[in-house]
Amino acid sequence: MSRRLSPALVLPVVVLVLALLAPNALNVTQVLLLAQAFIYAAFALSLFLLLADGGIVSFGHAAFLAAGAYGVAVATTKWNIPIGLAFLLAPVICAVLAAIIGWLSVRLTALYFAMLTLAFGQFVYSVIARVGYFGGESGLTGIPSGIVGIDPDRFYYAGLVVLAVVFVVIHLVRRAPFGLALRATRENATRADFAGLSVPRVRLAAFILSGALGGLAGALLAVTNGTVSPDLGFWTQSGTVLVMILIGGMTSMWGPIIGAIALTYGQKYIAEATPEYWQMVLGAALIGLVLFLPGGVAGGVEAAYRRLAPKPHRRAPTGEPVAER
Amino acid sequence: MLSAEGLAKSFGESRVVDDVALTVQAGTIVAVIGPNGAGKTTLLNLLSGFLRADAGSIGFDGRAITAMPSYRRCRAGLGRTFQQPSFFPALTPLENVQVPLLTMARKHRRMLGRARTALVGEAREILAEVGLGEAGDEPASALSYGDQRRLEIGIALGTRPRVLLLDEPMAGMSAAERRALSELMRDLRAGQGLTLVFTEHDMDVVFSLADVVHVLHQGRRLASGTPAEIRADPEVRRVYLGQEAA
Repeated sequence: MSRRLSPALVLPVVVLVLALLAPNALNVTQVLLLAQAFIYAAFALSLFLLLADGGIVSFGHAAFLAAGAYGVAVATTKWNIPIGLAFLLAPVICAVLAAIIGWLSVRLTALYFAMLTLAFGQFVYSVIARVGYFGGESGLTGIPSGIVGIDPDRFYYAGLVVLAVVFVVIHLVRRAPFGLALRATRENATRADFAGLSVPRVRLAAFILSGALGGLAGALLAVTNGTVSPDLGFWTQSGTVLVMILIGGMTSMWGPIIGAIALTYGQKYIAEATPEYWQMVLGAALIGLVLFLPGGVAGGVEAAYRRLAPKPHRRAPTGEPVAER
Repeated sequence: MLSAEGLAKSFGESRVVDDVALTVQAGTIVAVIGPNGAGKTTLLNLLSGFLRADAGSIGFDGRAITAMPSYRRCRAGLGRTFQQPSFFPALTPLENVQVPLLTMARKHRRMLGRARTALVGEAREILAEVGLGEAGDEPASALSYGDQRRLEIGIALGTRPRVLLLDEPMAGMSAAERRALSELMRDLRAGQGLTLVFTEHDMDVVFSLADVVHVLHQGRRLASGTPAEIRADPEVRRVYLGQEAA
């Protein structure tokens, strides 16, 4: 059976090629800004799985950004673990942390889940901000950068690699049986239970994966910055990543990426130009999006594409679906 | 096959199910009837594990399941449907049925591979069985009410049950749909030897379909017997059937 070229297949390839070539055409400021945006896009994507497929809202996702970053910082500066190994250790640490937080949270109703994840997030924040071992308010410095070095282009490509890894992992998981089971728990937890699924366990697995991938983004943040500070884990960080997903939209995996890039650029240019109006602009943009484009930017683009493009065949005559959703 | 002993459940002051004992023979179709508030749904909720009993015990297939969580009862072969069709609205009908099939095949944890091609043959078989063979790729929420009920039965069948509990399966359906559903229930018993327990208000359906009828009244079991025995029971006529006629 020949596979037709679907937008779902072509788009990532085109975007990837453009992203690979982009540093040649951009100045250092842009390259560094995009490098940062990629990290946040990876971070937003890690939460997207929980939000879009799991239908559960965590308000403490910053805990994993911080834990990943501090994991690398502590492992390299305190335990003398080589940076490469430390980088791989970070998501493992985050998975363990997520297992603990998740085990205590996933059984709760949506509201209490949100509150408890927020509380855990703040707990992690206060630990890194107050405990001397973690450097207190000033954080930790002197994190080796390993192969990433201090070259902006390498920062950029490192961000792209992490983003691509997170993108592929989440894509695979979403289309796998587990992804379907996760969406089933989102759609109807009672029916999922009476389909034989242990809803808390499915959610816990998603929470752990989400935390581990978020930790990967945090680890790279530590490497590219060379320092870590407690504000990585502050609750506003958890809010920011939710805003990124809201702006970009939850209808596809491009949403969080668009949202992360948009917010990173907004913070850089609008916030620097008019610091006093930035929050207002952001607020107005959010209100506008939620009211008029609930699917976010990606959802809007998708809807426009569907309206403009000729109707694609949804199914081959055999009933075998052609296009990936 | 399925049995209950001294089952009780109270909500606040009111005892909704009060010391109910019940035995369901394998391969039978059992109806639970009673006026509104008699405790029919609560009884089903206790049997399926949706609610925990305050007292009493439940046995299924030779083992005690009183403390077993609902999803495990489901895996053990005790499926159920709800008064309001309960399914996965944004998923396609096929995906709706794939979910229990994947779970029962222990493939729901797989993070690699494609859900799209997993157990599709089995899922289509079940859809065909419940009369949804033509269902397309639209979300299940787009189905008609009657088809949503069929789909829910399909999901329950996906758990490969040996006993299927149906809570007012005919509610809100047209006469034609009721006939078709009765036919489906008979087929399930005949074809798979499935044991069916259902609650129902429509006495025509109950008396034509059930082998055994249990009558609940104010949380207690008032009578049990064949449809003919129940119809002739003066006590049942007084509290229930008479009411219907009036």
